[in-house]
Amino acid sequence: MKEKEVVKAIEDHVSRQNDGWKFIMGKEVLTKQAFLQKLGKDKKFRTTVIALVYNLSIDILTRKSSSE
Amino acid sequence: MSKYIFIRPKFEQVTEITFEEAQDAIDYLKGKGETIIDLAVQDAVREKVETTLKENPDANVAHYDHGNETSWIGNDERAVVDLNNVDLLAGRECYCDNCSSAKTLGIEAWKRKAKAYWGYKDIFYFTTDAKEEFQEFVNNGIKRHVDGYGWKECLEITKQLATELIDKLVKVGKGLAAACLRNDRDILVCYTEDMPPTSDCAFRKLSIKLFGLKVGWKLSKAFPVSVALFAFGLGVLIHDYVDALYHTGGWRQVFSLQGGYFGALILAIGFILAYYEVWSALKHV
Repeated sequence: MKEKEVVKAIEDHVSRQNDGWKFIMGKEVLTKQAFLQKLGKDKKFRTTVIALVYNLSIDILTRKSSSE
Repeated sequence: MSKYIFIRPKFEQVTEITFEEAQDAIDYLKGKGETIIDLAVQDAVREKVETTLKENPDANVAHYDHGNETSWIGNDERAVVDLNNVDLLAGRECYCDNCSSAKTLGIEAWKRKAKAYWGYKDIFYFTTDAKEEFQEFVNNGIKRHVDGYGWKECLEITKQLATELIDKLVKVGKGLAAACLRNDRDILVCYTEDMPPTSDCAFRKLSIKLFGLKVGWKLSKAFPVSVALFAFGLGVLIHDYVDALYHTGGWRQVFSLQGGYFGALILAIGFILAYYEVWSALKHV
């Protein structure tokens, strides 16, 4: 899956959240709009969020395969 | 029954959430008969924290929110505990719901014989659509501990709980919350006498292997540098000495008994003895 597709999936996911939704990263609080804006503009942040998603996928896949 | 000092500032959005998380833990602990000293909001400042810790040397301590690698942050955004007063954590169980403090401060507390240091070694992420799940996760360790579990079990149970919560969040379509919780689960650590900190640094790993945990964690970067400098200096000295001997009398002179060889040997033995002394002293600190 290309990075663009992952970003699109994250954008879709966040867009579906209610307006009060917030993403908290240490001291930084991002509203839905701020998150989407940062995801588009800030490469370092984009890399961090993509890594979060990839690592979750790996975690789930690894667990499922080890229990089989 | 034990005593817990709770440090819980509340000065912006994130601390408003973690303040409530701390309240949940306090309510549970009180229900179990624990004594709570609540340093909340304006009481969560350095002077007050230091005084309370000094007055209650037998109390355990919990800090809820905002930290960095070397400190816990108070209500006025100054550090309430950092590397300058980390000695105050000696002999206590420390429970942290803050970012990154297990990376450096936690190790320093462990070195100073804190009974336990529960915390995160990197930035903590969460989303507000799963507040309940994150609260359950961050408070699980302290709750299970007052239930009677050892810290090692608490860590295992909490990581297992996080995995269950991740699956639950994925199932209900809260994928990003699950991704954050996966991160938080993996950066959660607990240091005790039986669970020492680990390191990614090659020199640290080597020094722990060579000298054991107690000494290995105390050595700074100056140690490998000093050993390397000594070895290099001795190597240059022997090389030049052997070269001079060769030019004086050839290989016969090189392989004959020379006072300089004894000198180098005495130097090396002296160096090893000096380090052995330092190692022995560090072991008992």
